[in-house]
Amino acid sequence: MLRFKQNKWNNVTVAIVTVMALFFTPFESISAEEYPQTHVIAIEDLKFMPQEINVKPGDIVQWVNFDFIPHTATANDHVWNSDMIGAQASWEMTVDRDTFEGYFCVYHPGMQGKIKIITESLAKAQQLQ
Amino acid sequence: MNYHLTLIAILAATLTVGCATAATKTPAELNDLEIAHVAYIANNIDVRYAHLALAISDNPKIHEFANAMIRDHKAVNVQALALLEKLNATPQDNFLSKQLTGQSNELVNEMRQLSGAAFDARYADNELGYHKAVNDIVENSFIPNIENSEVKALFKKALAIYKAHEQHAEKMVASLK
Ligand SMILES: [Cu+2]
Repeated sequence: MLRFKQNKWNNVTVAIVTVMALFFTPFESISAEEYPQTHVIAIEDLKFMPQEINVKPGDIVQWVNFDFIPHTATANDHVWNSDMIGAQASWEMTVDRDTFEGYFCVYHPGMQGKIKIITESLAKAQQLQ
Repeated sequence: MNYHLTLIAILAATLTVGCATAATKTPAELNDLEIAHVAYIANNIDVRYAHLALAISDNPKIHEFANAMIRDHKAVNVQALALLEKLNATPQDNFLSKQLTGQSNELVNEMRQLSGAAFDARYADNELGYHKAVNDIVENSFIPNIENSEVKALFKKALAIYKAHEQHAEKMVASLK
C-alpha cells in the first residue's frame, strides 16, 4: 500500500503519507493482498508517526527523518538499532516473528514507538471481529 | 548561585509587571533580531557546557546527553544562520544575550573545578534548570512576539527540541539520585 522508491520526499508528501498511514494502519496489516509490505514511519517534530503500527513477519519498516536533527530507532532492549538517522535520511529493516516490538530514540528517550507483529492467526481473529 | 532562577525571575517580572520602564527592557520587548541573537548565544552556551561535561565526566549517561546537546543545539544554530542569511538580517546583541553570557562564564568556572559525582550532579541539575528557564522564555516571551513568520516557525521547531531535552534532563537528574 505505502510503497515508495525515492529516498527523499518533500514535507507535503510526508503529510500525505502520515495522514494515509493514520487512516489505514488498522486495515493495511490485515489485508493480505500484498506481501511483503513496506510501512513508512515519519519522524517529525520529535515524534514517530504513526506511533504504533501493525506489521506482518516479512514486512519492511522504514523510518524517514524529516527533522533537521538526527534521531535513532532503537529496540527498547537494544537488539536492533538504526544508529544515527540523519536529517532527511532514512533507515529500514525487515521484521520477523520475534522482532522486539517497543522502540525509542537513544538521543531523545521520550520518543517512543511500537511495531506490533501480527501473525496470520492473530490477523484472522481480528478480521472476524 | 542558581542562574536559572535568575532567568525565571526575569520572565516573571515580564509577565506579571509588564510595564517596564523605557531603560530596562524585558525579554518580551526584544525585536526579532535581538531574539535571534539570544537564541544563538543560548544554543552556544549549552554546547559549551556539553563539551565541559565530555571532558570531565566519566558517566555514560552524561556523555549520551551531552552529545545530544551538541548535535541538536548546533543543528538549530545552522538552521538559524541559514534563515538569517536568507532574510539578509544580522542578529543584534542585547541585554539578555550579555546577561546569559556573563552567567555562563561564571558557571563554567564553577563547574570546571568539580569532578566525579559532584560534577555530574551539578551539570545535570543545571541542564534541567537551564532548559526549563530558556523554554519558558522561548514559549511565553519570544514566540508570541516574533514578527517574522519564518523565524517564528523555526522557534516553534526549536522549542519542540528543547522540550525533549528538558524531559531527557529530568530523567538524567533522577538517574543520578
Ligand atoms: Cu530523537
